[in-house]
Amino acid sequence: MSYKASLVLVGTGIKFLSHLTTEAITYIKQSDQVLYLVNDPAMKAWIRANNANCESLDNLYDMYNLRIDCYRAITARILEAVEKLQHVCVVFYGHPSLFSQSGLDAVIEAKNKGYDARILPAISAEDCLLADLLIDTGLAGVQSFEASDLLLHQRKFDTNCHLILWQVDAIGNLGHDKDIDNKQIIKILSSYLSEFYDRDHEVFLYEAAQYPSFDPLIQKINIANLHDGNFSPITSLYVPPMYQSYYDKEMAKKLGINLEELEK
Amino acid sequence: MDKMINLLEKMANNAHHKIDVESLIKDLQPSIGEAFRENNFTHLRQLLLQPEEIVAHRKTIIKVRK
Repeated sequence: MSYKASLVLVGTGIKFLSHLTTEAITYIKQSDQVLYLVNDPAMKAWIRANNANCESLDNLYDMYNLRIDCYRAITARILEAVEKLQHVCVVFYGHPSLFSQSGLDAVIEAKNKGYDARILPAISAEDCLLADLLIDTGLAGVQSFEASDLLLHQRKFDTNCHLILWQVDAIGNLGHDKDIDNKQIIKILSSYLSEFYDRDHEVFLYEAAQYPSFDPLIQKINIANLHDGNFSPITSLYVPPMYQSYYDKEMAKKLGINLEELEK
Repeated sequence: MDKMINLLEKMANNAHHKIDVESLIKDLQPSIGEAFRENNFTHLRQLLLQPEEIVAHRKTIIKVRK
């Protein structure tokens, strides 16, 4: 089916150029207009070099004190571009529907208005973390939360599964405030996690490599000493499972599973 | 910036470090070479910021993350 206007969200992945998919490159090069919100100056320059009709959304990100207002302004700008009846590609850092409410809202609204709108998958920081820390989430399951969200909603999690927390450096920060006492906030997180894990349980502070030929930054630290870690805006926290989960013998029986075979 | 993008493209196409990274960075300005040698990608990103983007970057450093 051919549409006069369309909206496609693509992600740059984390590592400059190396993570950009062939699919994303094609949309960036062939769209009538490209809007972009990426944090890497090299990627911005690359986008500008590959589509003459491109526009940064950075100014909208600075326009309001609360991030939620910035997101709404970005959604409105994306829809405005689509309503000019052109094929629009919006480029986000990482995966385009992860921590990207503005793009997601634009796609939903564009679809409701009858436009062809879609999101293409991309490599996220979570994908990098799983690879760099050698984690198979198929074995124990994974739980992934935005750090403020975990604390505010007191999310339930299983300490025998993998746990990943995002934006640990921005806990409690709804705007662009950089004057928050991060160490104190991290102590709150550390104290909260200590309710569920041993205080000497080893966790990892993780930053994916941003450019080719670089290595990721990985710090191993105890939950009790979390506040002594080096945090950056892109630091994630990985908490390994504490123990191996027990099997439910009754359930195994119902499912016809021989536990002795599983435990081999 | 064009020179840096060319370099990063070469890095992205250099599986198993078949081309010695040191040979690729030897002619760069010392601070950029240092960022590569010290595995400091945050520093490299700061060095890549255009002067007009630095102010905006300071405001937005906490904003875009995944």
